[in-house]
Amino acid sequence: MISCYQFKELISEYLDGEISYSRRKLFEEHLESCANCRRLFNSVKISIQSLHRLPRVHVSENFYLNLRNRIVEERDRIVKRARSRRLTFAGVPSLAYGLLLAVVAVSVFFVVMKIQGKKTGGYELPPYVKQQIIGSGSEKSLKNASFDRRVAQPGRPVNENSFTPDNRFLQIDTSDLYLKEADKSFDRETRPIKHIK
Amino acid sequence: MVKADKTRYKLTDEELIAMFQDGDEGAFEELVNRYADRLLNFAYRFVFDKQEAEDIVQDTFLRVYINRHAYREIAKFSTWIYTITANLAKTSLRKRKYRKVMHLSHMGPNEDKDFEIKDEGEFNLLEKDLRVDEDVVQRALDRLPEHFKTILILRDIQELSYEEISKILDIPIGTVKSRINRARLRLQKEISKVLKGKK
Repeated sequence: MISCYQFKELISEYLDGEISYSRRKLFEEHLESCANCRRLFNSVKISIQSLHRLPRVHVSENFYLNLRNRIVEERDRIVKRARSRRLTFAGVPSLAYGLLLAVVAVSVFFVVMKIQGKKTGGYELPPYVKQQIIGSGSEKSLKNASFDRRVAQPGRPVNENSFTPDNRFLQIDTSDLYLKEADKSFDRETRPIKHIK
Repeated sequence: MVKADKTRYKLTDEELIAMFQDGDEGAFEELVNRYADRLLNFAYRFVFDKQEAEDIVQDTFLRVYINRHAYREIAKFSTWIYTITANLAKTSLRKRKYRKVMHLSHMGPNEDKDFEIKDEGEFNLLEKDLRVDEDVVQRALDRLPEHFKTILILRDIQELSYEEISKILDIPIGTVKSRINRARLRLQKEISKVLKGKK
């Protein structure tokens, strides 16, 4: 025997013929014995029959003509859109725009770097040299105390002629100094500065 | 490949859509002839307005026309087209409900009395009224939650199988069975309420 709750759960399966044989027997037993469930069952049955009996509607005479017109309109719209895309490059995917933008940005970056590189092409004085200049009170000339880039090339000895006229009062013993591009760290002990009076 | 000697009306829906995908517009016309009334009845029971239902069906065919290549023969054509109509009908109904809510919100405090119906004696009344007229059934249908309404229209008006409904709604067969049962129980309750409200 099944409970009223179980009966309620099986109503549709029974009405649709989807219930198994064993369950069907239990369902019918309950249907016979329970008046409340019987009323519910009949009520559901009437509801379904009411749905089945609902009148069918049919498309109007203009339906096909309207549909055809809408399809023609839509087709024209698609063709126009495709044409305008061809003219305005609207069909180009956004990824292509992104890539183009990235290429432009990288190019601009390199151009700017190259221009800046020309302006600041001169070699800076090594930090220990600058510190010694500050210590000796020659700070005024520190700003302009840079090697002439034409002279201070890697692998070429630097001497007193390497200084610009502004800081000619300085003389650095750099007879054995060879600038190496890879190694810009200088040993303070082995690179003494001499001040000329 | 579709056999050329078959006349269109003998072809299956899947064969017709394949022909349409290959550029045969006549195949599309045959599909429209087959599905126009079926889809109209489905949409009509959803929105209960013939003009609105026709618009939904036209939109459906328009989408099929434009997106013909989106159909793949992994599902039945009927499943695909019903899914499109169901989505459009739901959208249309939601828009209308929104408009209705906006309209009701402008009513005075005593103007919505007709919407209140007391709930007593769920099915006794229905048992006496062996024939329930269309208006009552439609009103009861409209009072159902959207997922109950959809499944009842598909099952009891469109008479689709559990399997087809499962594919259209993208839910397991077990859920289809239980939802149909709950929807029917709820419908008989709503019919009783509507009948009681009328008397």
